[in-house]
Amino acid sequence: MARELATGTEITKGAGNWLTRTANRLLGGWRDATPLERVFLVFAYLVATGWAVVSIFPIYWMVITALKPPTTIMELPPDWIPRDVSFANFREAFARSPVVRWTFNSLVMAGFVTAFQLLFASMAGYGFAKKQFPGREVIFWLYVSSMMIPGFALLIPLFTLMARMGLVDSYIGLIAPGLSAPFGVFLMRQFIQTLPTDLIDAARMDGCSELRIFFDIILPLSKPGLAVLGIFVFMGQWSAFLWPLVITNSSDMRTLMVGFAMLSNQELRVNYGAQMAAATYMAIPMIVVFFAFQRYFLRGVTIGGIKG
Amino acid sequence: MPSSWRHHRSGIGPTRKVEYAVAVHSSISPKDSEFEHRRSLISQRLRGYFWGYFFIFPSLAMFLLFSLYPMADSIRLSFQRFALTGREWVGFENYQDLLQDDEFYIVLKNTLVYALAIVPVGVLLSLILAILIFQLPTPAQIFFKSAYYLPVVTSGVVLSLIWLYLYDPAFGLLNYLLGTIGIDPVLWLADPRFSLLSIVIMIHASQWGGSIILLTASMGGIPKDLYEAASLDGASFFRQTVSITLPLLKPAIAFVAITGSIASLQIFTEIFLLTSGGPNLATTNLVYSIYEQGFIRFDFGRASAIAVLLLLLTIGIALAQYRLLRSNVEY
Repeated sequence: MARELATGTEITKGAGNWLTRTANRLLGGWRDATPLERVFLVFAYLVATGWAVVSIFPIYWMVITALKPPTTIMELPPDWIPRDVSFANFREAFARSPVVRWTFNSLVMAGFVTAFQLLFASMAGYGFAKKQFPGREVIFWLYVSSMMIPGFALLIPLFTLMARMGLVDSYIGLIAPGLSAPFGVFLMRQFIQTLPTDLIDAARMDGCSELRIFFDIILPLSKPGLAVLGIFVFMGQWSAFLWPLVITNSSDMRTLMVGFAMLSNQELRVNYGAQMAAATYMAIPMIVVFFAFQRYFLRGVTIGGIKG
Repeated sequence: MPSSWRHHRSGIGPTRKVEYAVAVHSSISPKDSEFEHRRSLISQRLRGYFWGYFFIFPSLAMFLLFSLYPMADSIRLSFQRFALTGREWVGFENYQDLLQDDEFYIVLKNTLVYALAIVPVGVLLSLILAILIFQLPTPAQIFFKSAYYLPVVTSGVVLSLIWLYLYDPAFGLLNYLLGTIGIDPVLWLADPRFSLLSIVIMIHASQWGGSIILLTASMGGIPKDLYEAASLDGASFFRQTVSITLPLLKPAIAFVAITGSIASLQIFTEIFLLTSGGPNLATTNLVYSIYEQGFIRFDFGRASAIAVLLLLLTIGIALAQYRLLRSNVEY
């Protein structure tokens, strides 16, 4: 439709709007494009591809370095495509670290924070969206305004709080601050608000208890919202660095990110093969999750510009 | 109130349920008893309150304990000193010490340099890429969005480890590539002239995926008939971009600029892994300084004073941008 309109006017308007037609034709196809439009199309693809290379190449470089035999890593000119595949770097990285324990710690932290946030945020989201009670607006306003508080502002007071409670270097210490989730509550409230209130009333008329309404009606209907929130919370916790860095002391309590970050400065210093193997090991779960739930990511980013 | 709450609510449900509800209602409170009627109304509302508080309680408890209380404590801490005996009040001493320290001004300057080097370039870059890929067919758009977002997914630690390798003066790829065109090796992270720039380059190369996705999504929300009308009037693609896309994209641009600024003021992981704030404070920003004062020198009072000042700076910059970029455009 748009293209027909544009081509209809091009006779009268002349060469001045070739770029407009370009924009329209890009969607229409290469075959009926004029040379100038083809130039524009090629330009757009070139720039976009160039930036894609900038984005992806470091990750590619990480993976192939990890897979190279350790002896070939320092070779210059480098192999752009690995000739021999070897897992020696992974063996090296794992041999020098309590990697199983760190993986377990990362999973505990990310898993518990995600599970609790999903439960707490959907409960509170339901409360704020569908219940009437005094103070509702004020409390919600507090949540929304605190969404903007950056993590660093709470670092010291949270640490001293944990220290007073004797929770430094413990799982509870790792997990607890992640349970305050104003953003999650905000997201779930927005989502649950769109669910029909009639449905809840009808269920209540049928004698459904409040808890059953929540667990059997609200939660199943909130799945898309919960999926977006769950993925982002899990990813954010898996990647978290500053908090696990300060709250853990012993090597055994570190998460993967903190553990390997510290090793890269100590035993694995300049051992780039092992470092890249460790980095690949930490990144692969995230990359797999990303491609498995791509549409949730692309949607989730637009909901609130969630930071990683 | 003309009818009881229960009657009113039951009117919404299907007929069978209405009859059921009316039957239940009239069996509990006789129609002519105003007192009974009001009492059930009040207890109903109180029950509603109870469940409201019940559902928000776990989240609210966590919020008060781990967000609101620490926020207040942060301000209190900045007026205190940690001694062996406990916390003691020192008034504005932490702030005075800070403002008399030359290091603080270097760190403050670095923090602002990061923001200036990251935000304008990043917003422009995101905007250009978003406008370009928006012209491409949907499958190509999804491919590019995923490619740009992939580094964000892989986490700051992983990216920092990769760039640590890329920047290595002897074995890194960057110096090798420079060498092939005859440029001498650069000490990317050890040379104070390049170290901050190196961190900025790494951030530009990896952090704009989210902004690009957000901007293309906003562009998808602009009504197509605006462009059709502009085409009929003979407006070129460039003209359409300047006169339709950019003005209508202003709220999204403002969002990207503000969140980008907030993020650029609190870079930590990259600094920690690539340079540890060095050489000679060249890459230390206020957040890194909070970490250093708090967890290396254990001066929590001073670290909190820095945190409070940084928070004020962040809020100030965000508000200024909001004022500058806000628009009343609706479409």
